[in-house]
Amino acid sequence: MRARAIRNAGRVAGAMLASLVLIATDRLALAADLTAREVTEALVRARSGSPADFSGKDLRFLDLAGLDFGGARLANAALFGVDLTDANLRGADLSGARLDRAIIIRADFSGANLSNAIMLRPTVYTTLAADWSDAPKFTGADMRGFRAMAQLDGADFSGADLTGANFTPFEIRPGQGTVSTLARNLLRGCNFTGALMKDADFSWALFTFAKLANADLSGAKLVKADLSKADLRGADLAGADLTSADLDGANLTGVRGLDTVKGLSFVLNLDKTIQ
Amino acid sequence: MPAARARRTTAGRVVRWCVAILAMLTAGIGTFSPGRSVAGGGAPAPAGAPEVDTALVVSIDVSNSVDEHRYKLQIEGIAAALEDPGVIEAILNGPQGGIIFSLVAWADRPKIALPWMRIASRNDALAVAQAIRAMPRHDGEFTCLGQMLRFVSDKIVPQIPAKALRVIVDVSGDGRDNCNAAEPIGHVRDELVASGVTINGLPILEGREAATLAPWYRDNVMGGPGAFILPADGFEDFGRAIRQKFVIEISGAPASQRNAAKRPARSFPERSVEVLGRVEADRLVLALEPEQPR
Repeated sequence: MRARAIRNAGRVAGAMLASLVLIATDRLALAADLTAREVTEALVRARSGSPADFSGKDLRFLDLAGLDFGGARLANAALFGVDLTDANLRGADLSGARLDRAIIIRADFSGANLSNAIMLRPTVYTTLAADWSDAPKFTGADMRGFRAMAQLDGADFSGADLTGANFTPFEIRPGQGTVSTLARNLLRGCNFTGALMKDADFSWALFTFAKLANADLSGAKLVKADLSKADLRGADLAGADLTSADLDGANLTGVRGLDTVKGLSFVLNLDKTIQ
Repeated sequence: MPAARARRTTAGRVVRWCVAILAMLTAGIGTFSPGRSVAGGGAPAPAGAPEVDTALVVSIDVSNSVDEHRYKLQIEGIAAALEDPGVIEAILNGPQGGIIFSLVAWADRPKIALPWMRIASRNDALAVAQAIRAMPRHDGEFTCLGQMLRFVSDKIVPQIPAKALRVIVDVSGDGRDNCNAAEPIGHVRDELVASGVTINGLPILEGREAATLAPWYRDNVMGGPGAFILPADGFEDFGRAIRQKFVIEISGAPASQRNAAKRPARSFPERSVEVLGRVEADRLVLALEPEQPR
């Protein structure tokens, strides 16, 4: 009887210690390298000297809303779930950074280096109504090789370099093959005026009312993209793949390279374009 | 029976031992996480002697219960307080002869409504009052007071642009925190206090929480050297309360630091006090509780 009591007590102790291990593991796994306050202090110190350097740092889930990261180094930083609402990231180096699930409401990435960065399913709007004025800015940003799966309606990509960027809804998951967790990237009303989109893959993207005037879309993939009512005046479409793309009401005035577009015979509503 | 009692005692001892270890280790994990700053640590203060007496952050509640009229009462109350001769005298009478002032509006999310502005003259005070009246309307839904304090701790205090003798956070509102924050409000209050910040409270006693709000502010919001709460009897009384509050907290510099060449400031107790009760006809009716030994 005494032995049974001790065994029972031991089982309770074992369960408690197992819970403790789980708690500790969970807390350590979620812990960022820095606190939000430490990030703020580093940014303040950097004002009088070299840029703040958070390269390679794990800043996941931190509330960094409203902070001024202008020119800061965040290359290869883990920014999973970070709140960057109203943050200033102008000229920041975010090359190779992971911004999955980040909150980027009104964030300013103008002139930032986002080459080879990944942004899957960020939060872009304050409410479910998706007010386009909440959309972030990527004006003039270096987004070569950028990977996104997002609703980014209203975002500003004017003058950005999106060469080789991937805005398809497909992911390759080991053991699962190619999966799609988002029907299509939503880029309605986005401003791509003068953007470099050479060899980028925007297949299935929704570009309704988007501004693509003078954009370089040479070699880009726009398979099944919806470009209805889009402004493509002066855009370069040489060698682009528009198989099954919808051009209903699109403005193709002054478009270049239309004669080298792939899949032109499968384009929808080509007769309803403005030329 | 004695044998049974002995078995229960042994088993109970083992369980109590395990609970004690679990509690200690969980508390340890809660207070230490990789990268967590040590309480009191912070960015290096601006070098040199203090430039201002007080860095004052005024935070106002703009949650759902604060309609347009109540919002205007708060804004006008703060602006009018900064134009008050008594407040201006308190501001200019400190050893450094000035303060810096910022305003945070908070509900679901805190927001800097007025960035730091220096007040070192009557004209400065009037300019800040005008800037406050010209601010765009801020509103929100929930009363996330804890998140506001976290915002102040993480983003306001580290970026104070001038060296100040004191950092004071004014918190006013008509309700308790109702945001189910993962972090207890007392925890972030304690963190702020540990970094040298004083948090004064101005609970607005109106509505269904009027009877319990002042004690809640005392227990959960107020903290730091010289901290106090000064309730307002409803939003209509806010202007009076904030004016009195400004006079007390701005003039509360240690006597040893006051410039004897300047006009003598009003004398207020230097120890921590808790102010409960109305201010009537410019007389401060106090229910004083002496500072507890640390």
